[in-house]
Amino acid sequence: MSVSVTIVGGAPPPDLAAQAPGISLEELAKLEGPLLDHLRGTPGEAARFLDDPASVLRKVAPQAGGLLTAIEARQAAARASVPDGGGVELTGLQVDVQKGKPPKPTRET
Amino acid sequence: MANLAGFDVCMAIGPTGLGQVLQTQLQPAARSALTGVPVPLTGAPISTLDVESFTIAPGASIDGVQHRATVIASGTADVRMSVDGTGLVTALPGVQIPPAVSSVPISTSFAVAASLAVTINRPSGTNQVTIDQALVTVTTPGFSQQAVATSLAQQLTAKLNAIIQGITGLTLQTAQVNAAANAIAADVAGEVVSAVTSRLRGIFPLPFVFSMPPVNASAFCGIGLHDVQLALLAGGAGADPCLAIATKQMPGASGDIGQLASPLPSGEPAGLFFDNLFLTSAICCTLRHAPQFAGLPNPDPPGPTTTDPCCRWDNINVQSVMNNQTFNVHKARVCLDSSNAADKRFTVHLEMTTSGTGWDATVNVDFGIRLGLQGKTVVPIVEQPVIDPHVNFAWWVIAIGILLVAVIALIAAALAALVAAIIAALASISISLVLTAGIAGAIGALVGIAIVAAINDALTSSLTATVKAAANAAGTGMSALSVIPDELQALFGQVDASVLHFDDVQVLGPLVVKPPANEPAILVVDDLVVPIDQDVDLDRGTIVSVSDPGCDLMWHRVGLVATGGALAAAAPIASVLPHGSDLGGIVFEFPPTLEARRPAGFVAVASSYVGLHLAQVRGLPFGFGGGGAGQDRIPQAASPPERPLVAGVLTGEGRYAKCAFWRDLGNRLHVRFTLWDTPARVRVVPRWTTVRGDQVSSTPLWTVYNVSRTGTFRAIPITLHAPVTYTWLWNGTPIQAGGGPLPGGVSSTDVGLDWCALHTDFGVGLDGELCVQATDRFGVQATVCQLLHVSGTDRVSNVVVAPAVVAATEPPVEPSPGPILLPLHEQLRSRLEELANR
Repeated sequence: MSVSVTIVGGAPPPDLAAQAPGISLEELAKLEGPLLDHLRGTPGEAARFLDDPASVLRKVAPQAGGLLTAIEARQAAARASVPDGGGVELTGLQVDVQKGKPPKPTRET
Repeated sequence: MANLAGFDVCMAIGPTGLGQVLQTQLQPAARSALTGVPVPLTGAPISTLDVESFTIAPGASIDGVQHRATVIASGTADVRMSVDGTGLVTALPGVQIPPAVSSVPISTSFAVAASLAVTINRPSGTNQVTIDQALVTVTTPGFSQQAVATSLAQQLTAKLNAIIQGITGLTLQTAQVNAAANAIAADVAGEVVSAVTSRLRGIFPLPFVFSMPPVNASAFCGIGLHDVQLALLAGGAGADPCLAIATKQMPGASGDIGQLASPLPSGEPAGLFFDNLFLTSAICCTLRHAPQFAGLPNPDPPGPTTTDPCCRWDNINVQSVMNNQTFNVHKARVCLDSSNAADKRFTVHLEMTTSGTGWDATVNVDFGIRLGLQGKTVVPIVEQPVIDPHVNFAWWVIAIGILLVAVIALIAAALAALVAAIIAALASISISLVLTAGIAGAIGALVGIAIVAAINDALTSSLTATVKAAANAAGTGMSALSVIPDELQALFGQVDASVLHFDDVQVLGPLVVKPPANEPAILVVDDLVVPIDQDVDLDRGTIVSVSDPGCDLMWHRVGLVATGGALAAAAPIASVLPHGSDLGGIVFEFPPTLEARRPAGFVAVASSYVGLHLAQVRGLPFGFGGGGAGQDRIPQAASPPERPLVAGVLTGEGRYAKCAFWRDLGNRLHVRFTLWDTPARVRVVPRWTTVRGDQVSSTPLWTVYNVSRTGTFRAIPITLHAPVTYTWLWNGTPIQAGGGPLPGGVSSTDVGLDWCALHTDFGVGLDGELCVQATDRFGVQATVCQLLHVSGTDRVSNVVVAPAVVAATEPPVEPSPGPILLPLHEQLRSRLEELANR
């Protein structure tokens, strides 16, 4: 399956705090500008961000140690809940990066 | 591919297959008609013709111009006659001519041949197909008048001499005997031809009734069995002549049988032909009925059409919740792609969207489906789907650990469900097609295998169950569709698929005709509507009252059928009560019950009405208790249901019948029945001898003894022509003289000319089925079976009912080796059977 992904900018919604305990939304919001600047024009880094966001964030904002630790913990938990990549083999990936508002949520995942 | 002239499905049967069909349908009727035929021969006032070994060749020629098929039959005939020999013998004065001379039996044999040209059609507006006779030609090949005359004269002389032997003064007038024989022989050929021709014509027309299920316009897009037409078609370039059974399935089908050319490719025995527009329409309709596409409107733009074999939904927003995720289907398309003549396929395109917190996704999917043949089974073969998802992620969603792979897995699982729904739509077509082709076995598993193998392994786990669910849902639509009425398939055979061509679909292969072996002539096929508290005489095919001696089946409310007595006299008359008896203002509801009246029998079966043949009805365990069914077992509907209650019935006049029952909304009983001209040709009369052995147990009330039994069963032919030979079977194993032991408790067996005996050891019960197969001189067979469940012990009452003084003076009863009477119900049954056979 060949997938194209667009990474979109925008501030995290306030209610995200309830879904992501231990993560400071204020600190997270500060990462948007540097991260999107880092990813834009570098598809390899964008793809890496999809697969291992903590490592890319650590490059962009090495000073945000506490936040990064919390993010790594969430990633580990997420991977554990989707064993073997969810049974989906990605044979192609195209990534684009856009600044702007994030997609409007219609349903909680 | 042939043009179906506006029809949607056509079953074509070539000359060979049609010959088999006609042989199956005509031969039993002809054989029955050609036995015991009176022949008016000069000089032989009583003459009877029996045509033996009358065989219709398993081939036919189809004359499409004359719209008739011709089969050839041959056989041998016996003419038996009684010649008045009084004038052939001279007696001296005072010597009386023996009375036997007035009727001297002689006979002769010769061959007969017949050509039967028949037409097969469906009278307009009826639910029956008729095989009618266009021309019957009979000859007596090899008949030599001179030789027969000589033979008859020799027989007559010998018979007369045998009669007058030892009586002096009587002389034969040889010249007169020769003259008489010549006179008879001169007429034999012509009279036999006339008699056989007349009898063969008499078996026509042969009507075969079939059902036309009502089409519910809203249930399956108006697709259903709208019309059936038949024609005998001439061959053409690359096409063989055939009998075509063409059906209209689409609401506006324009089929014109006059425009239909034979679709049967040369050399193929039979075929099923499906119009592409019908197939595509059925697939699109099935898709709309799939749960994953609930709410799908009519295709927009409307389709499919002949020029655009697609159903498209271009601007829709159908929500479908799958795996707790809401998906919006915006576009769906199923097309028949004929662009590559050598590679026809269905193409499917889907577009849908879904979203979650911080992400949304648009997914396009394309895949193709081909119809393939695995063994003899038609299966959809699904190509690898091409899935093109695009996902928009907010950066922070990724940051907090929402993995792309998890979103893709979510989409893929849902997509699999949608794809599966489409595949199931196609699968249901194939299931239906294969069912029609008569090879339904294991189709479900094969379809599942084909689909699963074709789908990305990564989706397998979610797809397998989804496909099954979707196939089940889709199965309520297309797979329930009857493209050729079951009765016509049973009559004209089924196509065992061996070659599949796609666009239009052709399933070619051998015709499978399943003849009911030795099926006697069907006397009548009819429908009756029985009001409550009325009854049926199947032998007369009419509604009768319960007091009618011919009553076979009763449709009565319990409690209102009692006749006579103070209670019955006081009770209200059943016919004036709509629901039950009104007693003191309280209305008692008496649901009607279907019951067989003694001595008729009624045994409900699991078989379909069409699939129930005489041989199976004969084997049913009819007892003397009648049998029946409560109204709850009889389906109620406004129109004939697909699954009526089916039963075999033994009528009061000894004929077998099969019946289908259903109730209308007014609770009237609808009966469709087929009555065979089959009085039980042989009966079995049992006699039991029981020898008491050791005591097993005793209580103040009962003493139980081991017993050994001998059952002697005598076969009595009713309608078979002597000599009759018998084969006795115990649980399917032939019984031998001096044989045994056999499973089921038989210690030893004996067999005589028309009887057999089963012996049991002490304490051993008998449990099994005893059958006798009788075969008469014409090869006509009859089989009767009895289920035997007899205990290995007897229980004797210890309660003294005789005068006590007698009991006190009697010595203690020792186990006696003498015969012990059977229980009363067994005695009654045995006695009743004896009486019935008198």
